[in-house]
Amino acid sequence: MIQPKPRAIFALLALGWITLSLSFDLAAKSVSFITCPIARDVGPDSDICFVAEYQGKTYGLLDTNGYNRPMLKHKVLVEGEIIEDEQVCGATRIAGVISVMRYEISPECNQILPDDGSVVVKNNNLFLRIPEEQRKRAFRLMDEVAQNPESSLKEAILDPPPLPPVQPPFSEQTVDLHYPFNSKRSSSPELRKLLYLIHYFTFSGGHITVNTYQGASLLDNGTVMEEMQGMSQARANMFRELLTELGIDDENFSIQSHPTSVAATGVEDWKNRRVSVTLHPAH
Amino acid sequence: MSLINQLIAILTRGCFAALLFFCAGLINAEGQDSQWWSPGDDRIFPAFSEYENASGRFGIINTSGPIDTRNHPFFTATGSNGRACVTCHQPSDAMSLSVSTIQKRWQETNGKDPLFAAIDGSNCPSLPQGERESHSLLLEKGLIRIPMPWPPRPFNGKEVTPEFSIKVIRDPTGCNLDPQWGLNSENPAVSVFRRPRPVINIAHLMELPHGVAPFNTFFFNDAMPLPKGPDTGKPVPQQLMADGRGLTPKHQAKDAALTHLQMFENFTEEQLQQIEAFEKQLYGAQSYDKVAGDLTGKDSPPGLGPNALVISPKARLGNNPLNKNFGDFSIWTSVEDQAQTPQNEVSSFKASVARGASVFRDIRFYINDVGMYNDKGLGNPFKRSCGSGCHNTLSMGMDLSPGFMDIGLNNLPWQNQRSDLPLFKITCHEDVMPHAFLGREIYTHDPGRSLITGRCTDVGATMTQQMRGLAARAPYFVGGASANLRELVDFYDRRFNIGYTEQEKVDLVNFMRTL
Repeated sequence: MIQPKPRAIFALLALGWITLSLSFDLAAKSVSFITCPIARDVGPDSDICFVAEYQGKTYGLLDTNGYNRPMLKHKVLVEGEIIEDEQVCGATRIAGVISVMRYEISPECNQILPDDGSVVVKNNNLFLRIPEEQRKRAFRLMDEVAQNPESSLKEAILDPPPLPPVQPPFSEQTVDLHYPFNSKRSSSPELRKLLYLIHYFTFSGGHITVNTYQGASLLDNGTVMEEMQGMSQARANMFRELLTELGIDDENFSIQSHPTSVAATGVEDWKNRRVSVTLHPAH
Repeated sequence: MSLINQLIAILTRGCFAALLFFCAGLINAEGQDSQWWSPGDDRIFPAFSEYENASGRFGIINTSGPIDTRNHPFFTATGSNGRACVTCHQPSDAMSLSVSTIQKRWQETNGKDPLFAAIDGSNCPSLPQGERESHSLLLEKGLIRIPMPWPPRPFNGKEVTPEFSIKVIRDPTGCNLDPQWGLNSENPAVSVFRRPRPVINIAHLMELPHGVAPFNTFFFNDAMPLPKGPDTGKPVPQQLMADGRGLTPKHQAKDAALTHLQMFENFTEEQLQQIEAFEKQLYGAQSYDKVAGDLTGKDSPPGLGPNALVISPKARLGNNPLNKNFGDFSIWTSVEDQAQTPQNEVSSFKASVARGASVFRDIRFYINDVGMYNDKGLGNPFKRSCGSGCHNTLSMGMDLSPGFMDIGLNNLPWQNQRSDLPLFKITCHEDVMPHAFLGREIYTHDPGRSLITGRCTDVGATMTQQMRGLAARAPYFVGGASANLRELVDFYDRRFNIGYTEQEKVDLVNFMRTL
């Protein structure tokens, strides 16, 4: 019989403790709450960023589902996970979805923290967001400006190349579009995915099915918030108009609204506020 | 080589001055009064022309070459009131209409010019015509009456159900309570009063935006597909009008034909094509400044002068380190930096313009509580400069991903209460999304975009406009609230609590007057 060495036992115990701690932490990392956002100024050359106080701690708010920043004068519903090792706006990040409570005005949500130099935000100018080749071209044009000032009127950012044709065999394509609470405004990144699906459809043909949902959110304090009655139908109506305007004929798509709010669990409830679009290719 | 190519070649070779002299001579040969262009004047619209204004001269490049305006629908009185398009879109006023021109015209014609037609050149058609008081909004603020049907008509092929009720709180013109023209008349209408927009650089305004996908397909306000021009069936960027009711030049012309021109029958398709072609071939900007001198050629920043609009790519983001919104101004920065001799008025002014371009581009401030802007994902506040925020389009200064927004030009409390304009109370229905910052009860001088869409969120919202030819077309803003560029800067400074220094304000004004 092999006797376990004390060091190994200790290691096993430690591992078990870490595993338990991690699983406990993972469960605890999902948060859902409503609060006033706080704006933080981070210097004369940077955008505002946002934090929120929750259970005595400050968290940085960064929406992962598009370009959806908090607004002063309104509360926000924060649904996400605490990312302990990531800092946003000088505070531990909550990664998830930020919903501005647009139907109510909350004048008390009006705090802006002045720039104290403690938060440094990386420069995110347009040149850093374009492809490397374009960036080099832009910098080359900047170098030319001293000799030829007219270079400063040349386009710095080029149009992306057209999407390439889609070749068979075609496969089923699905795009989920998610919405802030009580909203039917689609986010830019998800609209780009939808445009690709429609591009795909122009080659594959077939039928597009759209399912629209509305959701509820279980807050950490036990409150369940349901979206307004009719949100699913509003999203369905919006999508019918959207697809028609994008040139999809009526017979090529069908829309089903699911009017009952999907039950809330307190974890990723935001995923229930969605429109699910599936393309079934003709062949 | 076509005439326009020759013209552009001449301009870019720096022989601008000679051409300028030649063309200006053509215009000025008729004397100062020839700046007013009456319908049926039957003049030649030259390939290049210049027109005097208080700061210098406004230049127009007509890229198709000289055209004979005889019987041209833009220049011919086709309606029953003697007006033509040119009546309210004067070349001398950057194809808009300044108050100084309006007042001069009143004096010259004793108020008899068709410009002062009862239908919308007076505060209300029911008022005694020919008396100054009856035309006070046009004479003092340059405002044309726009009767908007209530409830809104179907727009873009869709029925509109208004999300709010509207009540007249104050009616200094009498038109909104008028039994024949008001809200309770047989044809209910909301009379609002707006400045005519400049019909210049239209090719830039009609280009779908580049580099901001997916907003070349979707509209920023509601993330829905851009509307399609009724005459083209193609998506349009909605930059033409303050409220977006005219989607293309033809669409706008058809609307104007029946309202402003009081035509009994609309333009023919051929006439509409002529109008659209003419509008799209004009490029304009201030070409000469009384202090700085010539704004074109190799000694001036490349973004100044009308040729900048010809060579500049259309509908591109300008808020980047290369484009700097209106191009590079360092040629005038160095005037100050390199001058070892005492500064003179010219070099000081040029340096001020260059600093103004930097202020416009670089000084960030909190853009807060702007309806249909901060609430579209940008956050409240959003910290940007003029040039990196709402005026980000290269060479033009309008908003590239355009949205109708309420910065406080029409709605209280940001707008000063004006005793000359009607005041409406908007009450939004309980079940609709309210205005993001004003809620469900809004007091406004002009409900703006909401008179088209019927949406509560759109109350008071209007479209950002281009910044060219400012020196030629005061007063500014949709309701003519700012009599001059300094008042315009002061409005922004107060509205957004920017805290510009006196020098920065002066620099901004100098910069804008050269555009």
